[in-house]
Amino acid sequence: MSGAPPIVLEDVCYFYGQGNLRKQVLYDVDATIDNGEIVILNGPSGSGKTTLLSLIGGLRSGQGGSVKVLGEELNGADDQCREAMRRQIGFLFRHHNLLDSLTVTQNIQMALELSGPPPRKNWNKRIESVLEQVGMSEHHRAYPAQLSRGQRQRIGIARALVTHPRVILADDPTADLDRESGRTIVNLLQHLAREEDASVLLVTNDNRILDIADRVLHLEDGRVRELADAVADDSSRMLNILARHEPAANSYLAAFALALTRVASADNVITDDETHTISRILHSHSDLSSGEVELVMALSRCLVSFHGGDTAQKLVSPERGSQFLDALRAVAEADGEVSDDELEEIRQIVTELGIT
Amino acid sequence: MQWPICGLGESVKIRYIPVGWQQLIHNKTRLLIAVTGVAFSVLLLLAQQGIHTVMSEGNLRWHNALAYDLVILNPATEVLTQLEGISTDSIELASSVEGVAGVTAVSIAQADWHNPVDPSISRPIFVVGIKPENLSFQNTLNPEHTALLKLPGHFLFDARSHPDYGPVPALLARGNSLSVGLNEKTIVVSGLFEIGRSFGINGALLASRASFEELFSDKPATTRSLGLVHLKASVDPSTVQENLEERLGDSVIVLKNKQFKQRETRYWSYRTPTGYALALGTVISLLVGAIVVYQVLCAELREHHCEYAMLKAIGYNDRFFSRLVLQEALILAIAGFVPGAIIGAQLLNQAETATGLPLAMTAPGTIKALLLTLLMSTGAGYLAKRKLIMIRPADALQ
Repeated sequence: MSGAPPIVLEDVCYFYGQGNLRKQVLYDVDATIDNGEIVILNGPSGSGKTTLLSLIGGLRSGQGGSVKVLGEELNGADDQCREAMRRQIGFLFRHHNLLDSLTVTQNIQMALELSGPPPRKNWNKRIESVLEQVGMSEHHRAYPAQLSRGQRQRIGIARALVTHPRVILADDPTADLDRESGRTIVNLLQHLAREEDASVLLVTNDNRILDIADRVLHLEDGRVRELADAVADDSSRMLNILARHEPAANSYLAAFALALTRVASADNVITDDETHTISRILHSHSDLSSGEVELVMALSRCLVSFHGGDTAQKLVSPERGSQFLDALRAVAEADGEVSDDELEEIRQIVTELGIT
Repeated sequence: MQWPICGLGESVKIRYIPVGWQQLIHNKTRLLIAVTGVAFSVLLLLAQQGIHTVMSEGNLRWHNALAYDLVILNPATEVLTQLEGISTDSIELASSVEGVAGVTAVSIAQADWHNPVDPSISRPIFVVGIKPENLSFQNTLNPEHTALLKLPGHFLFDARSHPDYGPVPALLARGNSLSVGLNEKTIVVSGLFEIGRSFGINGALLASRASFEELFSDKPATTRSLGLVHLKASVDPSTVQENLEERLGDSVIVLKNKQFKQRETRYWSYRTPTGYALALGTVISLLVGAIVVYQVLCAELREHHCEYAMLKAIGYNDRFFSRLVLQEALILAIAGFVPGAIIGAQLLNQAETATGLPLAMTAPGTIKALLLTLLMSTGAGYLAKRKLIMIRPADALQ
């Protein structure tokens, strides 16, 4: 599939409530999702992710800006137009919302019924194939209550895919699932979307699944934000929290991790084996959870690659170099006088970063 | 549970999905409650219908037995049991009007009947005096009856009278006749006929005009009469009615058989509490049914809020949901009507045996009850539908 991008957002604004209680939740959101692209929309809760998804899916009527889906302007479109649009989109939500009185096959058939006047002849083949794609062939006569959460979400995927939609909108589909089944579900979604060449917009809070995306769109307080800023913010916040609650563990670990990663990267490459070993050692030397260890390690790795020298040359350009030096000097003078130790330290940094 | 996907094969089978039906039968407890509620409402409705049948048929039993074409009445007369008299002149005048085959004067009065077994029990009885050989009662009386009526002081007793009047048929079977105290006199009951009770008549006696006059000789004021007109074949009743009214003047009115019956029914419907109670009862039973259906449908919608929102999200429109709710409402109506009607038929049959009133379910009454039930359910479904329309597709995101 080529041609115009299936989702184009321009200056999308949205308000909840009326009068004094009117509250803006989306501010001038611009975004484009290309054909076959998998985009994750993340951000803290309350950031307006789900609202944005509901506007793109025609689940709400828009207020400000332009929401174009599959070439159709949804902002200002009437109910029927949005209904027609929704039929062309595959939806996958946090809750599978399968009808518990219908079998798996019937639930999927409910989506097919909307795909046009029924030439039911081929529906069974289509349902069989989509069930096979999600690995649920043998459960076609089961009722949702007889399935696990993960299995039900697979049926949800099958229902979303059965009509070959060009756009799939997923709202936190892993929220109800444990880590492992969540992973399986997003992998499956990614794989099948690629197979069908469908564009996917996936709203999630779950940072563990960010890697399936071609691109991450970060939303905060109703505004799109650079992912780098968001990650930096997040990380420093995490480290601060760690420092406040477990200061000893924090500094000890930071030093320890730094030392370990320095050794590992002495040959300028950190292999997977080395990573595993480091994290194992860190685990056995602290009470921190695996998430916290991961964070400390990731930061140490950044630090090591920064110290690595090769990249430093490109990192600091001559113009930036002078700014950098000015900044360092300003810090040194902050306590009134510039000591020898401070000058020595500045000299060392300049050498390490290759500032000319 | 596997219906309608029921094939033995392992391959996927595609059938029409009756979503409303599936959703309803999924929660068996709720279905049972709903069906019981509707059945109860149907039962009440049928009981009202039974009483209505009594009003429309039971109260017309004597009209049917009298088998007249036209009737000459005092204008103040509304029902057979409360007759105002007409003059004998009118009856004679009427006989000479063209198209009239014959006019019979019928006297009607209430008397006090003393139970032949326990004379201390006294009941008002409906006494009708006729000419034995008259054209009325041809379907009710046989020649034997006519012969008995010709004997002075002999009366015929309605075998379907209330048991309080005593075991007259049994007593008659023992001897040829039975002496009974009526008002302050003693009469002879020598035969039985069958017409049956109604709201105003618990027991009845039939006598010749002579015996009747004899019985009420000391109280002429209580004697009431009307004129029954029988028409010649192929005469237009409306024309004769007009001619009669013109000839007889304003002191009487002339009504067709159907018109007098309507007058009687209207009296019971509007002039007595019966009609009002009946209408109120019908409304209440419909309300009970409607509330049950509405509550059950709303509970169903509430429980499946997210699922229905999802269906809206993937593109199902309000027409689909209207059909869904109406389908469910009609299923509940029919599922409740069947047991309600079966139990109702039995209860009403018992009631008919107990009261002697024609309470049993009739085909028109049953059809009317079914239509009312369907209407009630549809109404409740329509109200519940508005709740369904209010579900927004974005609710599926919660």
